[in-house]
Parts: sequence; C-alpha cells; structure tokens
Amino acid sequence: MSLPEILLRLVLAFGIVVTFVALNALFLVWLERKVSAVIQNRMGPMEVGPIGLLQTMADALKLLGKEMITPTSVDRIAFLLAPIIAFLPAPLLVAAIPIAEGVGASDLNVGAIYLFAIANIAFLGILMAGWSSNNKYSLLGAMRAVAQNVSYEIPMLLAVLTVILMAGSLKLSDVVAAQSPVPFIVFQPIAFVIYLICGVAESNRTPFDLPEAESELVAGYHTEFTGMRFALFFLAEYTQVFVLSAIITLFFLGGWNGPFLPGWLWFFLKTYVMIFIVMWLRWTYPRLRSDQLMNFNWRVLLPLAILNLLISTVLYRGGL
Amino acid sequence: MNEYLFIMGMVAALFGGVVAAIARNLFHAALGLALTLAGTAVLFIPLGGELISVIQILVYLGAVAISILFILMLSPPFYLKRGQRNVLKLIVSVIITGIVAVPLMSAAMSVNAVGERAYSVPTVQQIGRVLLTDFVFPFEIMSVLLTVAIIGAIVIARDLPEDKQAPQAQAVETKRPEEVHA
Repeated sequence: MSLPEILLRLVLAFGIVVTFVALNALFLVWLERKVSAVIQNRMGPMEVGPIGLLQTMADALKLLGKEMITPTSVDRIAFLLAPIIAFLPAPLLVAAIPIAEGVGASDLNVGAIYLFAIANIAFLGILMAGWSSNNKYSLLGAMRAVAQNVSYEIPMLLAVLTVILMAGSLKLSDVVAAQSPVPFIVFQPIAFVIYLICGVAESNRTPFDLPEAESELVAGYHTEFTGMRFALFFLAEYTQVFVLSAIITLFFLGGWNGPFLPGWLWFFLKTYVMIFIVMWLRWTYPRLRSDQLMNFNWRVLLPLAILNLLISTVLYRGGL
Repeated sequence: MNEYLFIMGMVAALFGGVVAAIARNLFHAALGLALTLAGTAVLFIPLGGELISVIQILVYLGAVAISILFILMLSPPFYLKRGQRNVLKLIVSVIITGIVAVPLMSAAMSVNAVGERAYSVPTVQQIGRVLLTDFVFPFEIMSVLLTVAIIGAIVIARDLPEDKQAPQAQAVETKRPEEVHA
C-alpha cells in the first residue's frame, strides 16, 4: 500500500468510528435522561424533536459554541492534552469490537486483552486532568477514579479469564463462536455478575461515582473543563458504557448469535438492553462510601473471582 | 504500512525519552516516560508481536506509568516548584545511563534482528506452553518476587498501633494526603 492510500484508509476508518462514538453518546445521553425521568416519574426532555430526541443534539451544539476557558494557574500542556488522552481509547475500543460475523473494523488475535489494555489509557487522561487543574477537588476526584479503577480491574480480568478459558481463544469472534448454542452466562453466572459490577465501577457511574460525586467534589476531575474539552470527557464516559455493554454481550450473552434476526441486530439489541440495565442501576442505588467501595472489592469480589476461576478451571479443564 | 508504523513508534518513544530526561517538572517527566512506553508498544506491532504489544500497554502503561503518576500525587504538592539543576547530579546520571546503556546496546547490536527471525513470532498458545514447561522455574521465581514485593509494601504501609509507632513515622502519617479523602 502506498502512503496516500494508507492515510485515506486511516482517515475513513477513524471518521466512521468517531461518528459512531459521537452519535452513540448523543443517543445514550438522551436515553439516560429518559430512563431517569421514567424512574423518577417525570417526562424527561420533550420539547426538541419527537419525544425530545433532538435535545442532546441541541446541547452538543451549545457545548461546541461555548468558550473554552483555560484557568490561569493550570499546567497548560497537561491541561490541553488531558481531554484528548481521556477520549483516545473510545475510538480505539470501538474499532476493535466486531458487530457481526466478519463485520467490524478489525478482529484482532488478542482482541480480549487489547480491550482491557486500551481502556487503561483513559486513566492517564484522568490523572492528567486532575493534576493539571491545580484544584484540590479535581485532584481528589482523579485519585479516587484511578484508585477505584485499578482495584476493580483485577476481579474484572479474573472474571473475563474464566470466559477465555472456556472459549480457548483471545480472539473475540472465536469467543462468540464458542457460545453458539448456549451463551456463557448460563455456565458462568458468577463471572457475569462480577464483571457487571466491576464494569460499572470502571465507568465511574453511580453507585460507584465517587470520583465525580457532585455533593463532595463539585464534578471531580473535570471540574475545570469547559466547552468541547468537557464534552470530550462526556463522550469518553458514554462510549465506555457502550463498550462495557458490548463486552458483556460478546463474552457472556453470545454476541451476534440468535434466532430469526440478523446478527448485527442481535448484537445491538443485547448491547442496548445491557446499557439500559446499567442506567437502571445508576438511578436505583445510592452512592457507596470510599471504604465500602474498597472493602467490597478486596474482601468480596476478589476472593470470589479467584474461587470462581479455580472452580471453573477444575470443572472445565478437568474433564467435564 | 509496517515501516511507517515502526517509524511512528520510534519517534514517539525517543521524543518521550527526551522529555522524561530533560523536563524540569517531575509530572511532565513521568508523562514523557508514559509516551516512551506507549511508543515501545507500537514497535512490537510491525514485528508481529501483537501479544507483547498489548501486554506492554496493559502492564507498563496501565500499571507502571499510572502507579508512578499516582505516587507523584501522594507526595506533597511540590509541583509548582521547579527542580534544581546540579552539575554533580548530571554527571552521576550520565555515568549510570552509560553503565546501563552500553551493554544493552552491544547486546542489541549482536542480534541479527533483521530478516526471517524477526517475523516468526510464536502464538499465544506457544508462549503459554513454553512458560509452563521450559521456563516454569524463572516464571515461578518471578511470582515469588512479586509476592515478596506485595508483602513488603503491606508491611511498610501498615498502620502500627499508636504506642508502638515511631515518632518519625507519626509525623509522616499526619501528612499523608490519602488520609484526607479516605
């Protein structure tokens, strides 16, 4: 391939993925407001467009037009780079998720590890945002976010490992193919629950939203960010919710396997149902305390995940 | 395609290394280190080592770089001050760098990395099998090392009972920033 061809392909692929990321976030913000409204017995956005569908579009345009304020005493380099680095994993993750048999930007040999490795880059952006803002709330928010994410990643990976063990491959399409008759949630209900809890914790959402607890920390690490820079953090968060649900769909719910409907439709159906469940959790449960959060992770989830992995190994590889 | 990727990774790694070495702000230096680690991860992709590349990101960027940045945040807020340059320190660091770099360079130069060998990369299954058969002893020693490191960290970080606490330790204790948000 020649250089212009490579560049064209890159720009095209990146454009498609980023467009999807943006549209998905717009839809999810609208969905979140509707879900919260239904749960709280309200109507939610109704004015702009049919049942308020264009409300988030209007909000996004407003954010684009807003002034980007750079406070005087911030660390300029890190402050400018932080939203970009926090957003960077979003398109990289979406690009690696196969939607149906053979459909997807790329199906990597090591797709399963890739997803978790790339997701880590966002923490770097969060730390940079918190530190560079030169604001104690931002710093505390960033530290909480990273401490929480690093801790919850361990049981999360252990839960995924049980699925990898059963599938016998790190390739996402192989993992889905292994669930052809029966999805892994049937064999691995404990791993599924552990993964769901850790995934919600990783995306910093209620009941694990301590990093941006508005009653204590203003808005956590993105307190000082305005306009499009704030929007990038927002986009990253909602893409993370999508990726979390997509991973659950691929690893536990059988991916694009399903009767009657085409594969990609099954994939999106399962993913958006999972997104709805994650939103439902957010508007149902109150926020945890910092110590409860850590105790729950290290004293409950981690031993459970290790035990689950051990038992699965014995049952599955030991001849059953 | 592969050449461009390799060059990009190399440029990123070298630029990050230079930033890590000359930045006066410790936080910027740590960010430079993170860029170097990410660039190194990119280098493995054109060589066919996707697993190593991903593991590099997972371990070095996701754990090591994050821990370093996290430690910088736990320390007192010195970030607005500039570090002092010192000729003696500079000389010492050049010597240490030389001691590490010269054997590494000669080792790297002695291997014929260009050619068929660079592209016959083992699969994940092969790496796993070799780790648990031929290299099981070094592998286990590494686990023991990590366990010792974790236990050591716990021993250092453990809160001693009030009466047994050394006065110095107590002074440090009151300054620890993580106490504030715990």
